[in-house]
Amino acid sequence: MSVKKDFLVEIHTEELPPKALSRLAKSFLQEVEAHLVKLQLSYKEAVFYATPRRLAVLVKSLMSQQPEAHIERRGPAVSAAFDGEGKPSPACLGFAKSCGVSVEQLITIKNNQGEWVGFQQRVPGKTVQELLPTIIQESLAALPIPKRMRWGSGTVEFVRPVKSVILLYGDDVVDAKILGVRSGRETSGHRFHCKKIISISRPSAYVKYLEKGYVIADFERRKQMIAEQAQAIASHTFDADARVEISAALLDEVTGLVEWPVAILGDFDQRFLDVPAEALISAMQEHQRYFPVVDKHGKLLPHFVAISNIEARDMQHVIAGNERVLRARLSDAAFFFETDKKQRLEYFVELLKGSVFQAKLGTVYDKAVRLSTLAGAIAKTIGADETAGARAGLLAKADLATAMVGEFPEMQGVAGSYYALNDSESRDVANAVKEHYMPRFSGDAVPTNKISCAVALADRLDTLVGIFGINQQPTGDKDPFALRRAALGILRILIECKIDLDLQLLLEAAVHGYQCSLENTAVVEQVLNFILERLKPWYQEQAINPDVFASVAALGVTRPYDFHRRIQAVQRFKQLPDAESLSVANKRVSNILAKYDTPIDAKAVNASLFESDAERELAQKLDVFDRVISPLYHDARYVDVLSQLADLRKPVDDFFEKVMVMADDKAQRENRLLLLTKLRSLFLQVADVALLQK
Amino acid sequence: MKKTIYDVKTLQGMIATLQAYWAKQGCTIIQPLDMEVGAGTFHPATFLRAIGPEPWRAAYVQPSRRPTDGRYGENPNRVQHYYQFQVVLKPSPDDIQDLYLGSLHALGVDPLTDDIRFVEDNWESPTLGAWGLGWEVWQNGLEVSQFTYFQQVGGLECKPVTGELTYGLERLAMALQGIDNIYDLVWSKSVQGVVTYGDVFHQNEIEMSTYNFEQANVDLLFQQFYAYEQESQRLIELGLPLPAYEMVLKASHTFNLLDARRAISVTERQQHILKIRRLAKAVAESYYQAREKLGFPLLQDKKHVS
Repeated sequence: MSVKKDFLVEIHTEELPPKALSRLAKSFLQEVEAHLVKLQLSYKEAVFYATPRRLAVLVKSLMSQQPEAHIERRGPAVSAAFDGEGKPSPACLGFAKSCGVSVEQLITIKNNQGEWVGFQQRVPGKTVQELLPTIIQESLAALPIPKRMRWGSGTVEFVRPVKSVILLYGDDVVDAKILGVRSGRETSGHRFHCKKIISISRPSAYVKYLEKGYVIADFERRKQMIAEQAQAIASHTFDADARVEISAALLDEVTGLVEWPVAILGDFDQRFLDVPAEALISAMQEHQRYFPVVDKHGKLLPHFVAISNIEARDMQHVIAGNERVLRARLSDAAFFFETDKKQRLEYFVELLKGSVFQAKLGTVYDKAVRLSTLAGAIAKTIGADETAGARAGLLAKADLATAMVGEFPEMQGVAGSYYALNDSESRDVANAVKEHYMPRFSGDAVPTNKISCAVALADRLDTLVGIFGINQQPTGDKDPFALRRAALGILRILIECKIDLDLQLLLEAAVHGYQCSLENTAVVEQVLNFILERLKPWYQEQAINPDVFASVAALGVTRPYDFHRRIQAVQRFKQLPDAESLSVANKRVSNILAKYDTPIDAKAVNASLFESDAERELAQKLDVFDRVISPLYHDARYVDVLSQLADLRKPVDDFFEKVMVMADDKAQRENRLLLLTKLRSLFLQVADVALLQK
Repeated sequence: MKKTIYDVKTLQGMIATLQAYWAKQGCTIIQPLDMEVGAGTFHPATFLRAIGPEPWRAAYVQPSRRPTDGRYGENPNRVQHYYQFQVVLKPSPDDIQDLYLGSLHALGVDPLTDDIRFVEDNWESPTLGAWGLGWEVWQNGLEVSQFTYFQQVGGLECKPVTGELTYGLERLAMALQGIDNIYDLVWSKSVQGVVTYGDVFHQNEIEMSTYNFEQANVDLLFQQFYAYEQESQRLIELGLPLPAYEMVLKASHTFNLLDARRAISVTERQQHILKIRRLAKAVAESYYQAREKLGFPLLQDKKHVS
């Protein structure tokens, strides 16, 4: 008889990687559940627990045994199984043997199609005691662990060394060896607050027992406690307007660093607030895992919240220690900031001569000079100040030579922007120094103004052209210069900032910056294709149907923003009631024209050759639309173009219904083909709608 | 463990305490390597002993040099010459974390007074062809130690695994003494008065920073680098891994000095690192073979002291 009991597994380890912790625990849960489902072991619900020193899963009301399985096999037909005397045939004997039974044990299976000998067996389900060890072993083996490690003299591999394993079904230990450790019911509590071994009597008591041992096992609950404590300690100490900045990623990480969270509030010297806020925040968040405190306007206050793992005998001592560490870091930042500011940002451009961009492509200084020219030119083309573009291009990389960025690499761009403002460079230039790195990752924002866009484009174009120029284009998953990201960045900037520039021309300008020094002469074409190839996956991500994409891609448009507007137009067109029929008509026209391989002698449509009204009507409509659409097309109002063309449905349908294109008379045939060519080219101005699917 | 007889509020008292503690845990107390190295890991007592099947427990202080970290004696936290206290336990025992915490206890650290944390920090030395997983150990947010389970050394899998503990002595001392400036650290207290870290090393930091950043002879260093590289190669071919390894160390330090002089471009940098790594790997293999030829002496049953 199957009963239902709770099941608990805990893998107790040395400290796990905090950033990966919740992902590991969730995967563990998923794997265990997937195995249970696959093995038909039903249960009520399953949850995970995770702390720096343990991964656990609790399954509630887990069936103690798999359901009994009925196996039925069909052998030869009864007529073929026995001879006239009722003796079994060789086929029948063979079947019985394959089932591992004698002929007498076979049964007869009957249905309206006939009779067969058969074999039926009831296989009792396996018990959880038998199945759980393998389930756990396989689940652990499937965890997404980037680097597994060994320890001691053993060969077992896991995230970190394993100390103990709990496997409890109901009140009973499920005996197994997991990751080299014999299972049991014992675990440890908090590393310092709980000296005793904790023995878990039954799975449901796990959380409670651990809490007595100063461990909050539930990841989400601990996370919430941290957020609440952090906010509370700041609000109690300061007025209600003080707010703790809690980034989701840092909160997750901190939750992975403590078993017993205790928020503490520390201060730093007011004078550090003169240092760029980004540097202070980076020191607090990245290096120390502290939460910054801000006022109601989001302005940084000279305080921080740290999450300790103990209820210390003297909290002041812990606070003082943390303050001392932060002070050292901030003094560094302040020192670098002051030192850098003694020079103008321009001064650091010279120093870029000392750092190599790429051995064959010269120094970062050379790049800065090229950026200046290219960004200036782009700025001018898009109606922004050429001088500002050139200035921003020249200064964009200067901060790479500053002490601040040397120490805090994540300050690149930001530091330069502060120094630019300090030097009284224009706000646009300062902004561009910071924003030209955007978008830095998928989902990041694009630059906010034209000068920034000009430099951002120039930077990426220069890198792409340079690296392709020396034949080091990415292969497979090797993309050391992040050229794919650069290519997508260019597309996103052009499209999202609505900059209607031709990539072909941009690339030619970028190549020009290298002054004929690039060995690869096909560089423009290759980079152009490389960039345009990024469009497909990008549109796919945005749920644009492949046929819509293909209809525009077929045209070979090299202006990404123009490409984008066509995509939008086709999307809209596809919603129209006439779209499907027109797409079909285009397909038909396209096929007719493709099949007709004889050169057409006629030069223009000749109205006098028309025989039917359908022909006349279509010809007249095409003339009208040609005139109406032309200005729309020139303004790139593709949505309007296509919605106008939708009106062609009736004349086109009539035409195909009433007119025979492939007339015997050559003049008439050619006249009709010309008419269709005209129809087709009207559509092809925007997209090849023949490629649309239903 | 009995409370230490040494004054842990002095740098020398700390070192004596750590040595006494780890000696008690079965470590052989080795003396520092008499060569310029960037970290205690480079000492043959760690790098070479981590190779092969022989068990090994050792502890030692290692003066370490990182030329680019020089700040002319002006930065309260950063110096180009400092001390590491290094412990290696092979195979890594199951209670290695507790042993480490025991050493902090011996230094007077109470884990309910100080917030001690093991924070993921994975280690990789491109020049040594080595990597491992482990933590940095935090004391109230300050990184005071590195803790690594070696997985690979000189390109060879570590079987068994060596556990490496590295204490940043100055940092730990600053925390224990509650001091903000490294140069104010108390090195010793005697009837003549207090000797500080500044008394011992401040002038050295100024002069060595000047040398590292301004005066080191770049041409000479390049010549030396290539000479050490060739010499190491030659010695490997002669089946002399230990002197070959010394040449690797010399090449490595020379590289660091060139780096401080900003004499190495990004691409060259990679090439030089690869050169050193190739040598380190060759040394590792050669060392393994030499130990194998000797029958891995430390695997044999040892005489026990009665």
